[in-house]
Amino acid sequence: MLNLSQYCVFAGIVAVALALICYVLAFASDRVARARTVLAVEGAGGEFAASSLGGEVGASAFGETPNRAALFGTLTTWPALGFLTATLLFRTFATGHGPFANMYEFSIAFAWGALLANAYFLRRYRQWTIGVIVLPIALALLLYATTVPSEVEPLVPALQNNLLLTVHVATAMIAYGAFAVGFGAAFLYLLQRDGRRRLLPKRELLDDISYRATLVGFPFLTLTIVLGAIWADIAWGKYWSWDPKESASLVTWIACCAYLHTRSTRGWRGKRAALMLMLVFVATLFTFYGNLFFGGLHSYGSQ
Amino acid sequence: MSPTLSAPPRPALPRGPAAGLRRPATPPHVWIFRRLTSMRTALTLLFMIGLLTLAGTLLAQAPDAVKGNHAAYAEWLNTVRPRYGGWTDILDKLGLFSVFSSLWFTGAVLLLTASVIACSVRRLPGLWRTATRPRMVMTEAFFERAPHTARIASDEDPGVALAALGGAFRKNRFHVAVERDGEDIHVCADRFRWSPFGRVAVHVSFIVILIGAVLTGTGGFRDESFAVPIGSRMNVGHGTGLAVEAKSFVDAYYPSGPPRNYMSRLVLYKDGARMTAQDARVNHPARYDGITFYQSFFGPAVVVRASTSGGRVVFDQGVAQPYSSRDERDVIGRFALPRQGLTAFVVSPASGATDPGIPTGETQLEIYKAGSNTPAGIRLLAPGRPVAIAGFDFTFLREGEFTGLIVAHDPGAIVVWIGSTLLVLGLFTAFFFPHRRVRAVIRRGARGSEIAVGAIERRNAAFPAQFEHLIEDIRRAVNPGARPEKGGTAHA
Repeated sequence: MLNLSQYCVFAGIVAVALALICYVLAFASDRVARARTVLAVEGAGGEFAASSLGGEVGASAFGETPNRAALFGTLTTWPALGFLTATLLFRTFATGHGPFANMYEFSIAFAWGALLANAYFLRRYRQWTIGVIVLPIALALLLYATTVPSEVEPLVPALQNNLLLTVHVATAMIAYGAFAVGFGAAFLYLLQRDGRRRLLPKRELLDDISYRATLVGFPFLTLTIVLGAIWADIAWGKYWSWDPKESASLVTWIACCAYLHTRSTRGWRGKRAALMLMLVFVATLFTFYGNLFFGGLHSYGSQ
Repeated sequence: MSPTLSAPPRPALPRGPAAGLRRPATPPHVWIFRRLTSMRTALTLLFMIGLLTLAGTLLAQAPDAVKGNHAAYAEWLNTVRPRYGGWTDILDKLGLFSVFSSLWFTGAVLLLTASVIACSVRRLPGLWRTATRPRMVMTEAFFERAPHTARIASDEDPGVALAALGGAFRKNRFHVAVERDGEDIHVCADRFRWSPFGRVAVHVSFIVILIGAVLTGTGGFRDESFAVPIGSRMNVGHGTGLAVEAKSFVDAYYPSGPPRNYMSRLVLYKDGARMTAQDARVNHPARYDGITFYQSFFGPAVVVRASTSGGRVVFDQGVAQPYSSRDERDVIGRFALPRQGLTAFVVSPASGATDPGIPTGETQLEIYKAGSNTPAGIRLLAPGRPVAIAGFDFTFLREGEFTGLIVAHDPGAIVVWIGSTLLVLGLFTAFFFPHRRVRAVIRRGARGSEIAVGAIERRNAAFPAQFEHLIEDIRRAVNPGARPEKGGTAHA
């Protein structure tokens, strides 16, 4: 089982890398097409340009007139998600609990959460370009996982609560994945300038996707914190101890809270909202990696 | 030459006594309410709490044990001084080594609570009105200018069209309200109309959780150093009438070294009567009568007997040794003989350590009389050999073990769980089942009915498709025999 899990991780890495290469090629082919278009415009006049722009490369909404490389990249993200799901399942079968007990497992689970959220929003909004930001994040997490020990260590007494271990961390990974998508959409928003980057979705759409991603991530982050408090009460005899990881997750929660309130009541959209979402993702990474630096009650997860 | 348009001259502003007239001053309570319901205030407080929490995460925080003890706190401060250098005293003055109990943090949380209460009070009536008594009659301008509109023609009478329209809405899980305005029939269709109350629940949950936290901090008790020698019985105290006897303690390890299990077999007594026997393990605390016993730590103990010179036994039980000497060579335990006015410290070499002053296998006893800092006697005790100190014979019977428990009664926890449930349910309701309102008006048309549909749902990229789907259902319902494209158009 563990060997199968390991093979699936490598297959997942290859699939994510392949998808990313396809996306890069999609952008590169777009640049080439644009260069050709410019030459054509110079040679044949402006009328030809309009027909060429819409036909060969396609609009940003994937599915209308897809770029082949982008299409292949998008199709590859599904097996990547499947491989990582299989990785987590095989490891669950092998260990008897959710595979969330060390940094190797956390990193793979975070990458899985990012791919899951990416797939959900891809299906809902059909905007493959967000994957250009989310896939490198997932790939970085998977590559990081290959650098830390992957052995299955038996659970220490504090972690011996299979249900809460599984649900608490799984909800966290879904939240983190959603924030990765929110970050991706916010980052593209800042790259997109008045609709001049043709492959990128319109700014309004990116703004909406980043908002929707936060609407998914925020309840799951809240659930993570509440489940963590329940577990802390059972294992440590106190539902809140101001442990660094608890405090870091609270910082992320407050940042999300501020984003949602500024957006809904003070009309903070666009650039300011995008910057706030980037802050939320930085806080997410800080929460994720915090136990590596601060120790505290969560330090058994830093191996 | 074109004529120049110019505004008539403005009358001069009155000067003199009239200029001194001011708007009546805002009463203080109104001013406070306005400030509290201002989103700027709430956001400022939220940012402040966020920054302070960040500071509490990044900076070392003083342990609870040293707070309130000046000397211990100063000693702790010296341990962090190398890390923060010249900033140490500044950070200390700002209360940033105890962020979560600082005036800044407590004040910001209290103000935010007041702000949340004020905002909820202000918003609740409006939300209730919107959900229960929506404005029913909309003007034609609404159906022309709303972000999402559609026009549908039907051969059916308005009454029949209304039934079909209602059916289409209900199929899409909308609640339908109808009002007639002359010949026109106005329809207000809501999906998840109670969803906005999820946000109210979230805000209320914040207050509930805070009440729970206050109850936790002020009510109940929490003893983090409840050490019970194996084979001994210790009173819980705090007016519970409970006593705990530790029957056994097991610490098991995996072959590779990490701990596998810590478990104590406990027998609980209430007012001297045996009530229950339970195991306490990490993640599986023992519970009785609202009191929870968490397995927390363990260590060595010694069994000591004290008797009078006449042979009457005044003490005979295990003494836990949970403390360490400064050089960590020794473990120390303490017991008292209150009726005799004596306090005793039992010092033994720590596991794996040696103390030249205490031979292996022996233990050292220090006896103090009440009110005295000078020991009445310090003697080494070999197993089984009584030694006379301060008029009593003390015998070191054997070495043993103790189990360390956290004993807690937390009346706030249940309130926190209620608040947390409200928080999670409120968030999932508000964000995953958002309120959607679609309006329609049915008018008698040339060949039957004319239906106008409109919805205000801005900046939601997914809504146009949902609206299209709904319009398609309505179109099919009001024109049962028609082809799909017949009857009207939708604009989003």
